[in-house]
Amino acid sequence: MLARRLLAVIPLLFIVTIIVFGLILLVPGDPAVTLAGENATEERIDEIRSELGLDDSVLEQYGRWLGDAVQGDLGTSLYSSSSVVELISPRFSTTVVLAAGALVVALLVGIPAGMVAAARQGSWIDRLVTLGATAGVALPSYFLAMLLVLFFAIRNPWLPATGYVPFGDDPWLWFKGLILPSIALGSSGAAVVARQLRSALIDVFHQDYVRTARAKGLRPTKVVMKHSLKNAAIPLVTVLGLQVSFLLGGTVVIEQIFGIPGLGQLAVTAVTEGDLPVIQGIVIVATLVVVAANLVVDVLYGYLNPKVRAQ
Amino acid sequence: MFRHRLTVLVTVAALGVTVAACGSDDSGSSDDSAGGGDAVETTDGDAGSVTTDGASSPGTVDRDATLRIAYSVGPSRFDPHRASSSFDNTSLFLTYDRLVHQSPEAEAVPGLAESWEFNDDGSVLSMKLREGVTFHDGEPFNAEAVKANIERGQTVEQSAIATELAVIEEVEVVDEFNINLILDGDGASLPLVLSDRAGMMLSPAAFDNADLDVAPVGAGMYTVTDYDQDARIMYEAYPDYWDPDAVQAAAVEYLIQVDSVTRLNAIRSGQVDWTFVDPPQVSEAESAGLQLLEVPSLAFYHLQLNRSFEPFGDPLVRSALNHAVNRDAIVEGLQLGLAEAAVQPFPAGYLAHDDSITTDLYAYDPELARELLAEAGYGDGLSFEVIVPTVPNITQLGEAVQAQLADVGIDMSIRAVQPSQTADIFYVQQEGEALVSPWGGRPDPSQTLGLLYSDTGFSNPGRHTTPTFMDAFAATLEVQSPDERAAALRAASKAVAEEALDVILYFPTTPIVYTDEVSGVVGWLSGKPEFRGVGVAG
Repeated sequence: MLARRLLAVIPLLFIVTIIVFGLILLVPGDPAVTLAGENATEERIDEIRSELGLDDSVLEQYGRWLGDAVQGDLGTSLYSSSSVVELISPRFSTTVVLAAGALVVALLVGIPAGMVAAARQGSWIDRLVTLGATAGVALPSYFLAMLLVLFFAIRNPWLPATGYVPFGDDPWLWFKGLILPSIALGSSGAAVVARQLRSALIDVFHQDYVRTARAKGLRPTKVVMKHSLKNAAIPLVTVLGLQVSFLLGGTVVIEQIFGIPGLGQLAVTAVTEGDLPVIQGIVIVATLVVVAANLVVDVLYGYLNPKVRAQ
Repeated sequence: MFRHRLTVLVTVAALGVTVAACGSDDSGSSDDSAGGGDAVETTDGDAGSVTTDGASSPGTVDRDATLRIAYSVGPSRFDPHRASSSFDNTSLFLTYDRLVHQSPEAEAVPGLAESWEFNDDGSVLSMKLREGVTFHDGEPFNAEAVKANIERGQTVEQSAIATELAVIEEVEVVDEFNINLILDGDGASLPLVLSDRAGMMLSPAAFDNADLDVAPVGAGMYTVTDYDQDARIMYEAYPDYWDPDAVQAAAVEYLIQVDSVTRLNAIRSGQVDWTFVDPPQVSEAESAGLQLLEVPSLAFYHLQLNRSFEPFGDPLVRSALNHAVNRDAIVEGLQLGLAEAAVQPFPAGYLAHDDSITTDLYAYDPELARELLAEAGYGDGLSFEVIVPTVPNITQLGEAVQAQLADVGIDMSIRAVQPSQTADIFYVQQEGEALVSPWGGRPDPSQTLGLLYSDTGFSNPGRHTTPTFMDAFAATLEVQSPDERAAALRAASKAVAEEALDVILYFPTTPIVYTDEVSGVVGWLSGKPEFRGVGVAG
C-alpha cells in the first residue's frame, strides 16, 4: 500500500513539472535579455539565446530537461554556473530547520493550551485561549516578526535581528537565531493546534467511554491524557499535515524579514529572474515534502485509529 | 479522501511558490540583480554621492577589525565578464580591480592603468599600466594579462560586456606595461567603460576555473574567502594590494539582505556597521542615532516614451506630457523629499549636466499642457498603454503619473509586468507606448544618450530620434580634450531636454546609514559604493 502511494508520486511529479514549465513559458520575458548585460544589442541577445538553447522548441527544451532530471541531474542555474542541486541542498536544510522550529513552537504552545481550554471549558482560561488562538490566526506572521524584532532584538538586544548561523559553526548562536523566526512562523500553527485540539477534546469528553472512565473514578488528568488525547489527535494530525505546506509557503516571507538564506529566498530570486531550472528544482522538492507529509499523516492515522489500518 | 487531500496540499505548495513570486515585490526595491537591463533597475536604493560630508569619525581605524556591511544584492556571478547586472559592481569592486577607476563624482581616474591617451585621429587608445601588481593567485599583471582579459570579455560564452568592448578591434602589446587598443569606431567613452565590469581584470590563469562564478581571482583590495550565495560573502584583505591606504579593514563581511527594514534592523541591533535604506526608514534610522549620508545618483526615474507611437513623435505632445507631470509633488509625496526633480538625463554636479536647463523648462502647468495637446490635435484626449514593473515604489509612481495625466485629459492605462521581464517587453517586443521605470545610469554619459535617444539605441524602442539630438550626440563620441567633450555632453543633454525626448522625473537620493565606528564613508555618484578607505574603529 505504501509502495503504491510512492509509485503514484512519479506521475504526480511529472504533471507538476509540466504545469510549471507551461506557466513559465506563458509568462512573457526572456532570460537572454538579462544575461546579455545592460548595453545589449539584439544580435548579442540572439547569440545568448542559442548558447543556452532557449531558441529551441518548448518540447525540445522540456524533453532535454526531463531527460537529465530522470538521471538525477536537475540542471544548472541560468544565472550562475551552480548546479540546481548545489543551490537547493543547503537552503533546503535551512528551511527544514526553520519549519521544524515553527512546528515545535506550534506544538509546545498549542497542545497545552488546547488541553487546558478543553478541560476547563467555559472558564476564563478557556476564553483566554480562544481569544489568543483567534489573534494567532488573524495576526500576519510578518507583523508579528516585526514586533518580535523590535522588542527582543532592538529595544532589548537579547536575540539577533537577522541572519542564520549553521549548527556546525556555533550551536548556541544557531539556537538563538532560530528563536524569533520560529515563533513568528509557528504562532498561527500554535493557534490552529490549540483550537483543533480544544474542540476535538470537548467532542471526545462527551463520548460514553470517557463518561465510563470518569465514573470509574479515574483522576481527571488520566482521563484526558490516556483516554481522550489519542482519539482527539486524529483531526490534529490532519491539521499538522496541512501546516507543513503552509510553513513551506510561510518561510518565504519570514526568511526575507530575518535575512535567512533558505529555500523561500531562493524561490523568490528564481521566480523574479525566470530561472527555470531552479524553479523546477524547488517545485519538485516542495512537492516531495508535501507528499512525504501526507504519507506520515496516513501512517499516523493507522497508529491512532486501528479501523483505518483494517481498511 | 487521500487523493483529494493530496490535491489540496499540492495546491497549497504551489501557492507557496506563487507567494514567493509576490513576495519579491514587497521585498524592497533594489532587488533586481536579476533584472533585464534598466527597465528593472530600481536604483532608488543605491549609493552614490559627490560629497564626503560627515564621512570620517576622528577615532582611529582598527586595521585588524572586520567591516560588516549589508547590501540588497550579491553578484549575479563572480565572473566579471559574464556578470549581467550593474548591481554586481558593489560586490565585485571589493575583489576585482579595474583598468580605470572612478572618482566619487563618477569621472575617470587612474586605476590599474596609470595613464592613457588617444592618438590624434582617435583610432588608438594607449594605456600605461601599473607595475608590480599581482593577482590574488600570484600571477603577474601586465600587458599580456590585459590583452587576454579584453579578448575573453569579447568572446566568452554569455559575455555581458561584449557589446561595450566591441569597439576594440585589436589589443596590441607594446611592451610589458604598455598596450595600444586599436579602435574600430568612436572610442571616446572607452575610458569610463573600462571603469566598469568591462575593465575588470581577472587572473589569466583562472580563465577556465570551473568555480569562477563563486570563487573570484582578481587583483582587488580583498580576496573572497567564503561565499554563501544570496546570504553572505566573506572578504579578507589582500596584503599585496598596490594601494594599501584603500584597504582599511582586515576583513569585510558582506550580508545580502533584500529588505530595507531587515537591513535597518541589522544595523540597529549592531549586526552590521554600514548599509543603505529606503526613504521611509530614514527617520527611524536618524532617531536611532545612526549616521546618515544622503547620496545623489546617476540613476533617474522617467516616463519613457516609445516615440515611434505617432502622438509621441510630435514635440508638442511630448512637451505637454512634461508640463502635465508635477515633479515636486512626486518628490515630496513618494520620495519623502529624498530626490531631485529633473528634466535632463544627468544630475547637477555631474560633468554632463547643463546648468542652463532647470526644471523651470517644464514647470507644472496643466493648463499649458491642455493647450499644447489641443494645438497638436489631441484636444479631445489621448490614450495609451504604459508598462509598469511590479515593484512597490514604481507602481506608486505609475499611479501618480496616471492621475496627473488624467487631469489634462490623457488616458494612460497601466499594464503591470514582472520586473525581470520589463526590458524584454518594452525594448525587445516593443509593446506598450511608454514605460515608467528607473534608468540605472551608465559609466559613460554617451552610453546613456546613445541607448535611450539615438537611432540605434537598444533602449530606444522604435528608434525615433531628431537631427538636432543626433548631431549633438555624434559630437560626444569624438575623441577630444576633456573640456571639449564635457561641453559636447552638456549640449546633448540640453538637446534631450529641449526636444522633450523623454519625460524625466527625478534623481533619487540614497540614504546611506552607518554607525559612528565607521570612517571613510564616501558617497559614489555611480550608485555603486566602493569601500576604498572605509574602516571601523577598534
